[in-house]
Amino acid sequence: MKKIHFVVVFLAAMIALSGIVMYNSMKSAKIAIDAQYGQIENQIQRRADLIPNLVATVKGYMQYEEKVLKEVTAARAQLAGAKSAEEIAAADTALTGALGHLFAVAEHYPELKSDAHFTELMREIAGSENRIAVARRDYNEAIRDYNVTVSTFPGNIVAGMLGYSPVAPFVAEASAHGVPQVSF
Amino acid sequence: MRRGHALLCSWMLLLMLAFLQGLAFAARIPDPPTRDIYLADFEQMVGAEDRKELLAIGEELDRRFGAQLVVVTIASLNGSDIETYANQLFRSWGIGNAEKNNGVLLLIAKEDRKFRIEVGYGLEGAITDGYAGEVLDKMTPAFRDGAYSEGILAAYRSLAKKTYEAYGETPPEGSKLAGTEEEEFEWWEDLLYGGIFLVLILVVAFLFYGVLGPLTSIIVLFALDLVLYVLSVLLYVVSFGHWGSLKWSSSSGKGSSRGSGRWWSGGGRSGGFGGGSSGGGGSSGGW
Repeated sequence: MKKIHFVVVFLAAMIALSGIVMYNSMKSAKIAIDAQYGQIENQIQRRADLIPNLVATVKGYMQYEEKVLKEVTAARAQLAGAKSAEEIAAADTALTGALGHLFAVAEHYPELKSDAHFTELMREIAGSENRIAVARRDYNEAIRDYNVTVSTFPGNIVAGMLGYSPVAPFVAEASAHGVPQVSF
Repeated sequence: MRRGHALLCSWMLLLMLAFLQGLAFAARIPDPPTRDIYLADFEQMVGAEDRKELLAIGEELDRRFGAQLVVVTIASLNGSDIETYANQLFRSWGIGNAEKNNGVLLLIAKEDRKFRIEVGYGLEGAITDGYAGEVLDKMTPAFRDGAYSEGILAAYRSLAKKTYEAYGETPPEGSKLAGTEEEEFEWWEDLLYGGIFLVLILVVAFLFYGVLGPLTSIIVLFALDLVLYVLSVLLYVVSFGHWGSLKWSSSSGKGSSRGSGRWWSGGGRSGGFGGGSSGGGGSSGGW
């Protein structure tokens, strides 16, 4: 009888222990998601910070393309005013589109294309876009890890009790895929 | 005991899942080299003399700053874009020191005629995207002429120079360095921890044997063992890709070589990759 008691207590302790471990891994997976999201915003901000410099450089070469420049400036302003994650994503998409137009127009200005400062800015912007893409991939990876933890057995039991539900990954809009390919 | 059996099965399933996940992650990227890690010349684009010089520069940088400048030549990207491929290779090999993230990767896809310099977080300030693009620009004419070896070495030299500048030092005169590499065997740590673990389990075994009798104690022990194993696997999976933040993975001094997180790959670990990461900084181009 005593032995049985011992075994039952032991097993209960083991289950409780694994429950605690599951809870901790869920919690840290959730924190990882938030951290990765912060990384996306950082990188979006980094690209936006390059815009004033870009506009100043470009202005000297293409005075007659005010519409394109305005679009870029407006998208940056929209991003600066964005609060929620959705607004930021929308503004970032708008900025990507505006920059795409700008780079397309820039093709007609050979002097601009050979400007060293412009070349460097273009590279920085291309690098920023890649960083945003990497940050988004990491974010989705973090979400996937978290979702696996909360939706597979035995994590789903603990998750159900504590109200942890799966999170939807970030899906880029179709237009955001068209990152302008810059060649020199 | 039936409840316990079901639990056991589910643990096993989870275990398999964890391993499958690990395998899927490692697909398509070539295995990291264990020797001459600064030049993984799968396409034989670099001549013997240049190779020697390049490796010497790379070793010196690693020895001094833990910075790792790595050149990788591959045949084809197999349809993936070079940015994604470079970032995945960078991370799965773990180029650069895990805490400093001071790795640089020069990836060349010969058949695609594309190249990319991917810079780890720690060197982004010194090797800006603009500078990386410049280095690639200077490589382009040589590559168009088919002078791959020359172009790669020149690019490597400029990147190395920038790395020295980043640490406020000047490159050594006539970069011929000796300095035999002290081999750091890290597996002894694994053995040590494994040993402690074994002793612990044996102690517990004796305790159980006294209380429960032989058969039950063996079953309980087995269950305990399995639970502990699964816990460690879980811990490993949870920390997948976060080696830098886990202190115990890089506690053994300079450049521990668990970059890819594939601790079972074993083999000669002289030097090895440091477990660095990259956030997609750098520049791409083609010729």
